[in-house]
Amino acid sequence: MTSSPDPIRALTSQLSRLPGIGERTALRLVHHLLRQDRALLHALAHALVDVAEHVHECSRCCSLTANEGVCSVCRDPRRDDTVLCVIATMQDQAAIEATGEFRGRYHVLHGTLSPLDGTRPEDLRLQPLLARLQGDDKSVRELILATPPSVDGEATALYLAKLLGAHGLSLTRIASGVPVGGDLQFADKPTLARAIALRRVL
Amino acid sequence: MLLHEVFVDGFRNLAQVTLRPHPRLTVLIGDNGQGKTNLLEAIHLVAALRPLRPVERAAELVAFGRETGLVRGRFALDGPLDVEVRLEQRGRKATVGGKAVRDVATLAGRLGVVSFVPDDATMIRGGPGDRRRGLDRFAYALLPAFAAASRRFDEALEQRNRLLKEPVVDDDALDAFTPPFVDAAVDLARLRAEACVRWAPVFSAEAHALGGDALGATLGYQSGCFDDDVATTASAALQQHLQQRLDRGRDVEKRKRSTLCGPQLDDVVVAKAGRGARFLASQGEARALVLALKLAAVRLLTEARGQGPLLLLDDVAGELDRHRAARLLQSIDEHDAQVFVTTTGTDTLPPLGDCAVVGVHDGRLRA
Ligand SMILES: [Zn+2]
Repeated sequence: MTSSPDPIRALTSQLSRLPGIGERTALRLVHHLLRQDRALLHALAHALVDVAEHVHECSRCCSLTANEGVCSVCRDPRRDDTVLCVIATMQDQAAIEATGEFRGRYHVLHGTLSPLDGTRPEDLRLQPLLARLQGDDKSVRELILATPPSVDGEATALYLAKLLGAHGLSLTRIASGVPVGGDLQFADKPTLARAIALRRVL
Repeated sequence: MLLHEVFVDGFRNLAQVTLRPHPRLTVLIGDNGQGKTNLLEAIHLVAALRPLRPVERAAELVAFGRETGLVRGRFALDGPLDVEVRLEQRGRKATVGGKAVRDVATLAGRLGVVSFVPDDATMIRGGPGDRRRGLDRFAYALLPAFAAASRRFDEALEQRNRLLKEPVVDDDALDAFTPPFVDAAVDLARLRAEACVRWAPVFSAEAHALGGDALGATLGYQSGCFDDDVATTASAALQQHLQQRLDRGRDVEKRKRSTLCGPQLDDVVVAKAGRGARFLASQGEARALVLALKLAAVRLLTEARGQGPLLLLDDVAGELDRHRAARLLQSIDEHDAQVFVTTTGTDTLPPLGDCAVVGVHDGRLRA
């Protein structure tokens, strides 16, 4: 590796490209790192290189994995092949996994539609989703659209619903409404109105 | 009493200032440009958790030559409550008791703030946008759900408008962003209508009590997109109505490159009996009507919260005659509000009663 003429400046400028980190914070981090044992710096550098070289998108669900080919969820034979949960981010997948409620398969879009942020349909992993539904995952019967209940998340779910409408799948959307353990009289009106509009049969 | 102490560091022209307000009335006295209005703005920021006047960037609020600014307030609400707003170049962060505030709107609603600034006359004499902003300020304080609904609507409108400004409009994406826009639009419209339904009778009563120029005034919500009465029509019917109007207007929207129907066109109509739907108020009339709006807001917030709100009055002596200023001070005691007043001199104010007078000079306080 060739070294930069000003390594401190180079590292500072790389760190300041991270979200929530400005020039000053970046410089503070660099000086903090420089006060550490050099072995720690090498370990950090090694971890970064490892991530860069070995983490890739799962060829089936598009989540990030260090496995060859497909990720551990896609590899798990005990998972239900008939239900597929579409999520915006891997953090959302982790949150759903943590509930222990869902035993089907996933598909990660890596974002939601946002004209303001310049995220267009072609920036999401939609083609891989269509490809797997027509290919290896023909046994899928239900698609749970679990993008967030934000404006972008709702729009993304609706876009997907239209795109997949002709595939003969059952499309469901995660519910939103009154929080569990909440008192109806203290729920705000829009939330309560939504809970009534989206009521379910008992 | 609501606010026990406010500490300001690096906010506009204020370096480091600690103010321990009077339980009833604190008068901030000083010449123009010395910082008394900035101190009032700092109090608004930490109590309402948003600026008194809209700013482009949080950095505008930070003192010249400083990286960050800070306003900290110690409130009493069930128990002591420390609220801190940190201003950075990129934005502002609110914490309560050292923890990040998840639900800023709910907290701000519980603290309760009514402000009265010279700019408020636009609520009567300005355009629909000014009146809408005036209504929204009140709705923020009265309805805990309002802030989230307003934010969601703004986001949906911006996303939709952005799509309409693309060189080639993606109809599928526009189809996908329209229902969330409709959803947010109906939520916002219903909350605005509710705020008006509650504000209107109390406003008329306060206007009646003020008499003179304000006599016989009424207030009503005028929807920018619904013909039905928004307050009493079911959300589903309103949603369907707006969705249909947007579907029918798609071609025109694409030509104009903007969303042409929705609560971004809402208005609040302040009228007087026997003078048609709208009238041109004189300066004196406008001031009297604004005062009636504020007195009504104080009364409603007190009822809703079971505790008087913070009332922030910027240069009221310039806005109100002694008779009306006296009525305002009387209302403070009726509602147990905690009041902050800025003025260039106490001789222009009516007798103040029990209060603290604090001088503000060159960004510092003088007791
Ligand atoms: Zn996978």
